[in-house]
Order: sequence, then C-alpha cells, then structure tokens
Amino acid sequence: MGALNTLDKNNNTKNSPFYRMVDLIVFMFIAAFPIMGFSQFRSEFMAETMALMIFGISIDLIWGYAGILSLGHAVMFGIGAYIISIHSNIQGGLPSFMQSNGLSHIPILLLPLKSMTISVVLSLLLPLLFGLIVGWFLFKGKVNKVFFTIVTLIMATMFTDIVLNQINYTNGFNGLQNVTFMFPQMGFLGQYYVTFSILLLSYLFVLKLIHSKFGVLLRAIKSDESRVLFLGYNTIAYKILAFSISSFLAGLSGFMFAQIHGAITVDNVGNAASVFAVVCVAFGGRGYITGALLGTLLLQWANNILSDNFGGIWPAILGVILLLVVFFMPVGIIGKIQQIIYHNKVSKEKVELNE
Amino acid sequence: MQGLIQSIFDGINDASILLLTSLGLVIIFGLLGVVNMAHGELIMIGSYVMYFITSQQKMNFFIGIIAAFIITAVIGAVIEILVVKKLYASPEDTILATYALSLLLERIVYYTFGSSAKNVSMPIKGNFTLLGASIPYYNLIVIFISILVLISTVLFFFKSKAGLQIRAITDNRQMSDALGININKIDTLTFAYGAGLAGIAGALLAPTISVVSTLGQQYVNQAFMTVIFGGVSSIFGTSLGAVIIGEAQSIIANFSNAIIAAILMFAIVIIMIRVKPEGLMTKRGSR
Repeated sequence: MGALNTLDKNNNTKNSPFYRMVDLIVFMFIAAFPIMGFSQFRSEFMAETMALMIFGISIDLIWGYAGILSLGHAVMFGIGAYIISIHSNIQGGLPSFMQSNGLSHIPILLLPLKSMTISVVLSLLLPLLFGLIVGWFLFKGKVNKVFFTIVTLIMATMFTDIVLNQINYTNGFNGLQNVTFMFPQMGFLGQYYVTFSILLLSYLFVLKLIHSKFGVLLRAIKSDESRVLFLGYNTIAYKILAFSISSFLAGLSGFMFAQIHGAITVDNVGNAASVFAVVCVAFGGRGYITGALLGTLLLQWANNILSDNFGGIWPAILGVILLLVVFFMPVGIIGKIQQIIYHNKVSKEKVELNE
Repeated sequence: MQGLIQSIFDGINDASILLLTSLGLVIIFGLLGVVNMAHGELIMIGSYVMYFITSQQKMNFFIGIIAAFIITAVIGAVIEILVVKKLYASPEDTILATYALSLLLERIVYYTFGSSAKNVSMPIKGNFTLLGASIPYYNLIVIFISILVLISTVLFFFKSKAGLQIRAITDNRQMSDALGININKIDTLTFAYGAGLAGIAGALLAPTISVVSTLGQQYVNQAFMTVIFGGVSSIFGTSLGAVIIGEAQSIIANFSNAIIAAILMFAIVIIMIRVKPEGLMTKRGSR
C-alpha cells in the first residue's frame, strides 16, 4: 500500500471533508425538494434527475477514478430500462404495439419477464454481465484509453440500431410507454423517497469502494498503470471489475429512470444520453463523486428550463459548456470551488506567517 | 446467386465510400494521435456544400467535389488551430472538445439550411447490367474518385516534400523541430487534409442519400470501426479494412438485414481486437 500511495496523487484533496459537505447539502436539498411546494411535475423531474445521478456516479467511478472514458454507458442504462419496461408492458396480456406489429402472442423470449422477480433480477444483472463481457474482451485485448472510448461509442450506436430494429420487443422509435413503478400501491412521495434511498445507497457504496484499497488501486492505475503492474497487481482484473461495477450502477440507473419517467424511448438510451452524462460529470468535476451529483443536478435543470423556450439549441449549449470545461475548467465546478477555497487558506496562512 | 452478385457489386460502392470516410480519420488519428469526433460533421458539411453548389448555384458536379474538399479543409484547419493544437498533450480532452464541435457544427448547419431534407440530383442517370446485376453509372464515378483519392494520398505522403515532413514529425517530433521543420504548420496541414477527405466523401454521398444535418453520425461510426479493424498507422490497412468491411456487410445484409450485418461486423471487429489487438496491418507495439 505504501508504494501505491505514492502513485495516488491528490489523495489528500480528494478525501477532503469539503466534498462530503457539498454532498450532504445536495442530498438535503433533494430530500426536502418535494415538500418545498413545487408542482408535482417538478418533483417528478427531480426524481428522474436522481436516477440520472446514479448514472453520473457510475461514469465518475470509471472515468474520474480509473481514467477510463466510456461513451457507451447508455447501453447498460438501456438494458436495465428496457427489461423493466417490457415487464410492465406485458402484464396485461399482449400489448397493443405488438398487436399492431402483427404478433398473435408474446414472444417466448419475453415470457419469463412476466414475473416481477425475474425482471428485477435480470434488469440489474444483465448490465453487470454485459459490462463484464465487454470489459473482459477489451481490457484483456489491451484496448487502451482512446480506443476503448471509440469502441464503446460504436457499441452505443449499435445498441440504438438494435432498439430501432427490434420493434417487436422495443416498439422501435416510439419506445415503451405505461411503465409502472415496482411498488404500484405506493404514492408519488413513496416513489420519490424509494428513489432517494437507492441513490443514497449507491452513493455510500461507491464512497466505501473508493476509500478502500480497491479505490486506491484504481487511482494508481489512472496515474501510472505499468508501475502498478510492476508492483504485482493484476491491473486488467481491477479494470474489468471496476467497469462491471460501473455497468451495474448504470443499469440500476436505467432501471429506476424508466419506472419514474413512466416510459423509455430510444432517445434516453442513445449516444446523446451517454455523452450528456459524461458532460455532466466533466462539468461538475471528475473524480470526486460530488461532481457527478452536482453536474447532473445543474445541467439536468438547465436543460429542463431552457428546453421550454429554446429546445433546439440545447445541443449547441451543451457543446459550448463542454468546450469551456475542457479549456478553462478541466477540474469542473467543484474542483474550481475547492481550488479557490484552498488557495485562500494557503494565502491566509502565508499572511499569518509573515506577521 | 443473382442477389449475391448484386450485393458484391453494391459492396464495392460501399467500400469506396467507407475508404474515403475512414482515410481522413486514419490520417488524423494515426499521424496526429487525435480522435476527431467531428469527422462525421465534416462529412455532413461536404454533402451540404455539394447541395449548395449543384442544386442552389446550378454548377457542375465536379466543382462541387473540389469546393467540398476546400471548404472542409479550411474548416479543419480552423478547428486544428483554434482547438486541437492546444490539446495534443491529452487525447481524452481532444475527444471531448471535438465532440463539442460536432454538436456545434450540426446545429449551425441545421439552423442555416433548415430542418428539411435536401436532395442532390445524380450527375449521370441510369444503370447498366453486368453479370445480371444492375449497377448505376454513378457508382463508377464514386469508385473512380475514391481510387484517385487513395493514389493521390499515397503520393502526397510518400513522394511530396510535405509528406516527407509529416512522416518525419510522426517519427520524431523534437528532432524534426530541431531540423527546422515548421511543426505547427505541418500539423495544421495534416488535419486540414484529413478533414478535406471527409468533405469529398460527403460530396460523393450527397446524390445517393437525403441530406440532413444529422447524417454524419451513421457514417463516422463505420469509419471508426474500419480504422480499428485496419490498424491506426497504416493507410493500406485502412484500405483493406474498408474493402473487407464494406463487402462483408453488403453480403451479410443480402442474407439477413443491414442491422444484423452491422452487429455481426462489430462482433467480428471486437473479436479481432481480442486476437490481434494491433489491427490488421499495424506493427506490434504501436498501440
């Protein structure tokens, strides 16, 4: 561990209580949101934002900590979302979209999804399994940073094509509507706080993970993979594991999102969805988890408010934000704030020393 | 059998387009180490230039191709100077920055030309029959131009002075700098040339598709696949990759459908990465 810690740059700042304070404020704000008197429409949107925060956390885990940029995480998100949505849709017999596609009975492949338990287990496990397979193929094949990003990007496009092509399962372009929450008897507030608890649990799980030896290894792999390899660690296995855990969280996020949103369409799982989450993490600041929460919160609401007036230019705004982050704020909002506070502290100490 | 021959001939056409889209990408990627996510949008701009020149200005098709090359090359040079040049140290940042540019370019074209799909008329109409397969005359132009572009690219890199300088820089950047090669200028030139090839690809595509501002994405993904398949540091690998992927996809699509063909090709590329990570034609250790 000693040798590893020398590779773990910025270790002190990353564990600083400052970030956990911001996390606490964000969580308190979200928890109090539905009782602050906004319309239920806004609260529903906040619940969707919470689901996307889990997505942000999943991307921050592999990008911010292990330095692996995946532009295909929407695939895992989509697998989780579509399985639970199909489950909802086939509850009342043959859904109308299958009828209009000329099917007389539910495809055999989908029959197991009639069961709630199987659907939940599958929509959580399949993304994990998929991440494991992709990670195994790519990391074992020594596909490095930039190549990994491209391959995952192509993967996301393929997934979109499959969704659009398999209309009997996914209803193609129109997507699946009428997705119900897993506990149907629950009111909206119940659903909101179930989502909140799942977000909180995911957050605590990832926090635990990054403060363990595993987290130190990931950061060490990010700063110098070959040296970690020389220290006798199987870096490939750690990367595959990290990618799988991240895939699981992405799947969980899709699983929650579809239920709260009540629908899933190809727009929610395409390339743009992956990139939006990546931009959120970059904007918030990668490698702190806080950035994933804050970035998703801010951009998601910016999108919501701006879309009312000028929906068409939102991609351009996203592009401008991304350029600004790359050129002027590579550490993201939270990193910038930390720099300002930390810098002030240093200068104060200097002043005191001079006196 | 009839269908098979037809799809083989169609595959040659697909491979030619794929060659043009991936050649620019591999030049920028292999020589500068930059993943240009805005490549698809440069293809799209090439198509729009063709639309503007031939449909709006009523000028010749070949002027359209040259204009598409020049305009996208200039845009490429501007992108390199303003954005990419500052980010060579970090490939990840260039991915993000060029992705941001792709979003911006798509929106700019969308608001300039409107949302409706544009049509570009064929410069030569009609088909001819060969071995029972019907082939549009236009395909011959596409194949001819892509071979011409391939040959001139090879000549440019291996026979011209600028090409020699580009190869020298790729080989040893600091040494080339010390020997008095203007590294900045050569980087810009390389990027502009790669971007220009995307423009030619877009211009050639324009008559066969309906031109919309989002068309870049679907072509750039195949091009990325070709680059990974053929290896990043070899023009010949990319050419071979384009032919194999274009043909295989066309033939598989003949038996099932285009999506299944694309997925199968992706699976083959992934398995090939696992077996031969360095790509089809790249020397070991360059990745």
